[in-house]
Amino acid sequence: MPKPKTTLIFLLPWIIILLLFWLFPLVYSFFLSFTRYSVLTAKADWIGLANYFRLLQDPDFWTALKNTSFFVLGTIPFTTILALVLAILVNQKIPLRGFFRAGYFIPSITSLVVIALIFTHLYAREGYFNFLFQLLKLSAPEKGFLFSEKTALLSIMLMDVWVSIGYYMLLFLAALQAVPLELYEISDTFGANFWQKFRFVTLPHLKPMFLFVILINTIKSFQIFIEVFVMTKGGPLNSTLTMVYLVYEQGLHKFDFGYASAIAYCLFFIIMIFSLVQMKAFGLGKGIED
Amino acid sequence: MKKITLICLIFCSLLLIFSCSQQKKNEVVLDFWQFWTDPQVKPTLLEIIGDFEKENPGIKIKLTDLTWSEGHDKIIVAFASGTTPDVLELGSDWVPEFSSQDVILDVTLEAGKIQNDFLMWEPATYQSKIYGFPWVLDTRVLFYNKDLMRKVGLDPETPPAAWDQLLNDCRKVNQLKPEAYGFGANSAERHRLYKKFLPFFWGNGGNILSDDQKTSEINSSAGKEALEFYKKLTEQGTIDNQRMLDEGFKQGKIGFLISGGWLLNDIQKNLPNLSFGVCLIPKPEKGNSSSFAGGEFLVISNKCKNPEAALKFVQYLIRKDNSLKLCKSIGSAIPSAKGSELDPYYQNNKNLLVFQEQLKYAQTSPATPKWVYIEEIIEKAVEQVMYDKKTPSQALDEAKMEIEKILR
Repeated sequence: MPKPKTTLIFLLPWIIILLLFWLFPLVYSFFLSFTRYSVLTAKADWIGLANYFRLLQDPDFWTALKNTSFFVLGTIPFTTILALVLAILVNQKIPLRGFFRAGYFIPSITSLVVIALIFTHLYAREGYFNFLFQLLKLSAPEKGFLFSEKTALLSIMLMDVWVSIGYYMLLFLAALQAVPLELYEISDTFGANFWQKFRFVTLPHLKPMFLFVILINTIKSFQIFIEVFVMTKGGPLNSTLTMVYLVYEQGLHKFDFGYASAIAYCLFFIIMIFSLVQMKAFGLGKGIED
Repeated sequence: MKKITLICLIFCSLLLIFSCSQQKKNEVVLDFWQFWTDPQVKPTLLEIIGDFEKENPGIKIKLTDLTWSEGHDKIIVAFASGTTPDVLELGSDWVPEFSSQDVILDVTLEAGKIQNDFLMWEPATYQSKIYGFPWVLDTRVLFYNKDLMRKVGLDPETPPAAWDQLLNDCRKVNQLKPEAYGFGANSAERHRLYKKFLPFFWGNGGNILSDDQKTSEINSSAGKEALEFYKKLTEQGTIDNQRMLDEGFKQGKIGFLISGGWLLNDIQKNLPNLSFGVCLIPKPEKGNSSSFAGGEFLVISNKCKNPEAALKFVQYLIRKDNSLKLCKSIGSAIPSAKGSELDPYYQNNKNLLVFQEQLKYAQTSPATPKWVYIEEIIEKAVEQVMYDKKTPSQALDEAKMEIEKILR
């Protein structure tokens, strides 16, 4: 049993980094959200809730909130269900199983910037998707997918689903393999079909993983930034303006740190509420019902 | 014994450090933060600095490189934490932010003496005081593809000089689509789009702000006319971001494009076979050719301990011979010192002469610390017109109201 003092010394490097680069900025930015902060002179004037009131009257904020919510609600069901279907497929004894598993996972370990750049070209006016649409005699947006306000956000969402499926597939795969084989054997002796086995054996065991996947994906999706930054910069007509991009614009272009912090904290509370509701709905902490 | 050796060693090294700092005591060290990191440009800058140090034995320059992607942040952080450099290079649209906060040195007196020998003091001027020195300038011109013009029966030796001609030429080249497009129009990329619209706006006699910077004149009939024209122009081409537009022009897919020195450098270096030309931005029927101008400015921090030395250094850098040397290594840039166009380097390259000529009629964005907000409003108006959400008249009327709200 190591002495508490020794433990503390070994933990110290990590604790210092946590306090200095994580906890301190977190608390400080909360303080900044109540101030008007002048970056050049480093003066922070306390203005109370003014930044938050300004936020409620800012049409850009509401656009960003709308776009972000649309993005979250529009991608998560598809990502989750497709990831589950893929996980079940690559869990079967099919030829080239390892190849498929690796293949679906590759986008998750590729730099998002690289993927976004590739997709910018695919979505371009002379790009692959426009070509495909022409072949199928469908009408593609004349300006190109990323430069039409109706399709820009949808295009990013489609890409995002493709990118994130692999990672969640892997999580589901792990959960699938943790289901005790005996349960399937028992079900076989009762003559259960594939669907019944899935409904009464597999699904209950996947429940904790479902919660985890949806929770992580919600938190991640609310913070969508890189795709927007690389592909559209919030345009056209603010149709891809998201919350974090707005924070970036206010904070690092206009250097309005106070207002940017207020937006960031607003996002934080939204994510927190979403997560709490999800945990409640799924009944966190309860075990698998037999 | 070991201990004694160790103590001796420590003592000796301390002595060494102390004597070193002692030696430098009567030497002035200036911290200089700058953005020229390009392997073709930096050696030239180092050479110029080396010459300065030789001429002024008492002054040493300590160089710190910044990058465009994070330099601004780094500077802001330095000012916020009080560890500012003595001399600092700033982009023209950044200067008002610093001069309005009273964190850089007021150089009105020194600048006044040499004011007539240099171009572009406006960005460094705030409330009729001067806070910086122009160093290296750049502007936007019209690039045109001669092959595409020939293909549609246009004479490549008479590039468009007037609005109507530009629109007609774009329309003709645009008939080649999807092989090629007429005009390369910027998408709603922030901090880029306005630089493409304002040349037409200014050329037509438009003003964004009134002289006292208290109201906006953006919705004048000249402004609305310019936006109307700009919308027609964007319809005769393709919309994309700057990087893709430059790429498209290099591949010969775009007929006409407003771009800057970086594209000229790139083409001259990498695509010697591209048949292209540059010309002044076309002018309206009753108006002038105008363009967007920007540049690099040298400012001195308020906290600088040796302002005399810093002023000496800054004035050395902007001196015509030195800035010419630097601009030649950059390729397309223009020294702020007047009369540089007479140098054979520019006289022998007609593309560069066009840049020099354009700079005479070019304007900079108004020197106000609120500019980041105003440019966003302008871009929103242009975008709404480009996407048929509003008429030019509606969009600019609204922009005027929003700008005045910001100015208040």
